[in-house]
Amino acid sequence: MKKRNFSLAAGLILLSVIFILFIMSYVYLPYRIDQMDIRNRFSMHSAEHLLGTDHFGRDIFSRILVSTRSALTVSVSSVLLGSIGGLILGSLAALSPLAIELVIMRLVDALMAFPGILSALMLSAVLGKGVMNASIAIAFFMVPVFARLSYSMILENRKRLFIKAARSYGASTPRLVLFHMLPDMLTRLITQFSASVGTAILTESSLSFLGLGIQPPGASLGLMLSEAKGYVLIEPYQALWPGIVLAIAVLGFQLTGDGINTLLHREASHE
Amino acid sequence: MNELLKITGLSVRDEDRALLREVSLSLRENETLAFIGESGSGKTLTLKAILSLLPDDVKVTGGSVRLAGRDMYGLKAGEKRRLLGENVGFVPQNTVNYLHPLLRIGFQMCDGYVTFHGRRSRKEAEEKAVRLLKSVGINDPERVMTSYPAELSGGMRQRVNIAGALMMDPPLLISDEPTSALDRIVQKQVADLYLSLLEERKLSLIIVSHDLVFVSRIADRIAVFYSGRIVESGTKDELFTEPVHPYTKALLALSPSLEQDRKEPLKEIKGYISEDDRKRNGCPFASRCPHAKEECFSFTEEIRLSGTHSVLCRLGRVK
Repeated sequence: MKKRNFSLAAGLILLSVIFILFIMSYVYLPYRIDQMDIRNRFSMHSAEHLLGTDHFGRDIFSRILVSTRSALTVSVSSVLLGSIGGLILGSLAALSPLAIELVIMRLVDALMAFPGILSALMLSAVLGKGVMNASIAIAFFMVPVFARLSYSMILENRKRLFIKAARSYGASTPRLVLFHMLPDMLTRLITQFSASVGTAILTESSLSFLGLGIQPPGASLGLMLSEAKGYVLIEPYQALWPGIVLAIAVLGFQLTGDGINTLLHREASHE
Repeated sequence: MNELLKITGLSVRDEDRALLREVSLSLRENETLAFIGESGSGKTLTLKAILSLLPDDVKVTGGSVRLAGRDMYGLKAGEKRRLLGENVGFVPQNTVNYLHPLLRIGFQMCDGYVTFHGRRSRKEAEEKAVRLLKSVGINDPERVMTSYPAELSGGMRQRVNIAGALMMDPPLLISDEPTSALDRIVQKQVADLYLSLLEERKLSLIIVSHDLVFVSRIADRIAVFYSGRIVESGTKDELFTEPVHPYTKALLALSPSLEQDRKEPLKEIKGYISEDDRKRNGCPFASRCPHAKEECFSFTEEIRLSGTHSVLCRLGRVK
């Protein structure tokens, strides 16, 4: 009997919620995000404002919709950037002479030992505020994880006979990595990718929360939480809804990564 | 007939042991040479020395390998690769580990061809691969081309390996126990395939096998390996009808036959290959040989019995 893959199912359901919000932000936006309804500040749920309004009377639902845009684009692009960087660095290390390998991998170790959020903070402080710079900062601390992963997988792959065979007939090193090793590495890279996107969303929110990511009057989950923190005792909803959406997004990506991992492992053991 | 491959006095060792000692052999065009002998006797290592695929910690300490008239060990890496690529096709023993599990057969078969010839197109390579798959007895080559190795049976995979080895139209095919992982019926099919390929393509073949029946069908000449040395070599008839070396005799006597009494235990050669046998200068088989004398342990010589038949044993002298 086939065992059910609960984390994949749960992860995909949560993710679909986020994607629906994301698509909705382009298709149907109830209010502009900077449209203020001063008379209705701090309003509760109503037909007019589905999730109420914030301290400027802006519609929270609309702001959450738009927030998913930056959450997804920043996190996915930064992880994409980070994983490509990590892949290049890792394969460079695995296929270079020992001296270069040691230098690269110790650098990666040093980066890894650095708390991610700290290096992201530092970088965005140096590069300046803004979405683009936040992406780069997050990508930067994604690099060591992917470098480590691809490094170990290439070392493992290099010993396989079919890889050796390909090298014996003269396949160049880039060709070897791209066409012969990557198919095998892809499954684990995808797993790591999905889990990393979750972390990246969290980091993006943290940066925005601290004022280094999305700038007001733009909308980001972190920024919304930051603005709401002053009113948590009077108007908890303002912080509650962005928090819930953030949790759904992070959980969704993490669980999906987990689910894909079990799925692929199960398939591999069937062979 | 030209000599396609000539190995003279090849010695190979790792850090503390001699793995091959003074191995000499030659192969002419359109001739089949079989290596027989027990595991660890150096058969596969000799193949790897020809293919220049020896493990890193194993070093060639003497001798030469001439392929198509050129000394292999004198060549630069790129030239060696070209020489081997144009002249030798290799069919590995293990069909699972040599095929990439995540790439389609078509890609794998064509990759070497495209890479090797640089500008040759993939389309051309694919047409050739389909033709070859057909010639190794695969009825639906188009389907096989788009299949993954896991979707094929063991016999099919071995056929794919053979077809892959023929992609470069090499005059020499090297085959390491091509039938060992297959069941009896498929073994026979693969053996038939080899025979028809030899017929059609005028190939030379070096084959390693434990299957004496297969060897007797396919080989022109046979070399018997023991503990890193060729102890006897000759034509098939010479070896099967009048073996001289006690090891060859013992090996041939081992084949079970249908007439054998069922209660009688299967025959074996007493003893095992000890490390001392490898180090000694004398006959490596002496410690297990029923005819061994004092001198065997310190001295042995190669004796030519005919133009093709030679043996590494003093018994050859008596004859």
